[in-house]
Amino acid sequence: MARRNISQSGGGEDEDVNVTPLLDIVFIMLIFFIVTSTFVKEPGVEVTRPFAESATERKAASIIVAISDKDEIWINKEQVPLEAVKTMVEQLRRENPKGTAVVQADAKSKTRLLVEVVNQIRSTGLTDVAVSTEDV
Amino acid sequence: MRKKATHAGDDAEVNITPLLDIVFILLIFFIVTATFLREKGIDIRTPEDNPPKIDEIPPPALLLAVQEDGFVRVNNIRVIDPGSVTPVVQEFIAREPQGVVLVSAAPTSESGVAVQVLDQAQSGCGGCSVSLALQKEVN
Repeated sequence: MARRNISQSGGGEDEDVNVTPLLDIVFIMLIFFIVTSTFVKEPGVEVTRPFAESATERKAASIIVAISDKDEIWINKEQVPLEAVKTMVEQLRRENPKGTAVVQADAKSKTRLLVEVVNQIRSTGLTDVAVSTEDV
Repeated sequence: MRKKATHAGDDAEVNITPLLDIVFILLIFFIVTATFLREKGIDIRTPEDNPPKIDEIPPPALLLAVQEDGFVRVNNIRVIDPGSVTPVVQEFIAREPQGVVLVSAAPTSESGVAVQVLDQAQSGCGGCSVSLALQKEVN
């Protein structure tokens, strides 16, 4: 009797832990991360965003173009010339057709570049373009 | 008891350890690659968005020209600070509810100022359309 008790409930070597709840949680987390992952291609430079009050949250922002304070354009950790922006954005759109575009322009960059980059993005047919800002 | 169960029958257990390994590896992969990007931004519209119809009186417009030195020229009349654009736009919209606001920035001005003026104009006129354009270069 006593032996049987030990082997049944008292943690013998062959004792199986019930892993079903663990597995449930792990699967739920897995599905959550699969669904929420978007694989954003970060531009690779840090910019100082301008401050804005009327900014809204940009959902599904997957195409990110950065303009550094030295007036260089960065997409997907590469510096690209202005003429290549359209091609790069088209490529990113093919990977993520539902995504919208965000231009991260440094506050010290030139407006000419910002407007020209926005025009390049719009020429691909993507009309939802925003400029990234920071809360005041 | 146990031995009997492993042979075959209702209580037969499948070894799920390899499945668990794969699931954990997938889970760690997705956790590591997940980027919760929170971008805040304002929409940029350009004047080409609403091409003017031919037989239509153009709506009254407020021109905010961002100069190279960072100041804003309103309707080519007076020069104001970019921080005080909101009241000017509010006053214009109160006068002309159908009006449009055009921010025209000098190509060499800092984009931070242009974005600030856009933001100020947008919060000044609520739902109206503010578009951003470039000034023609003079030289």
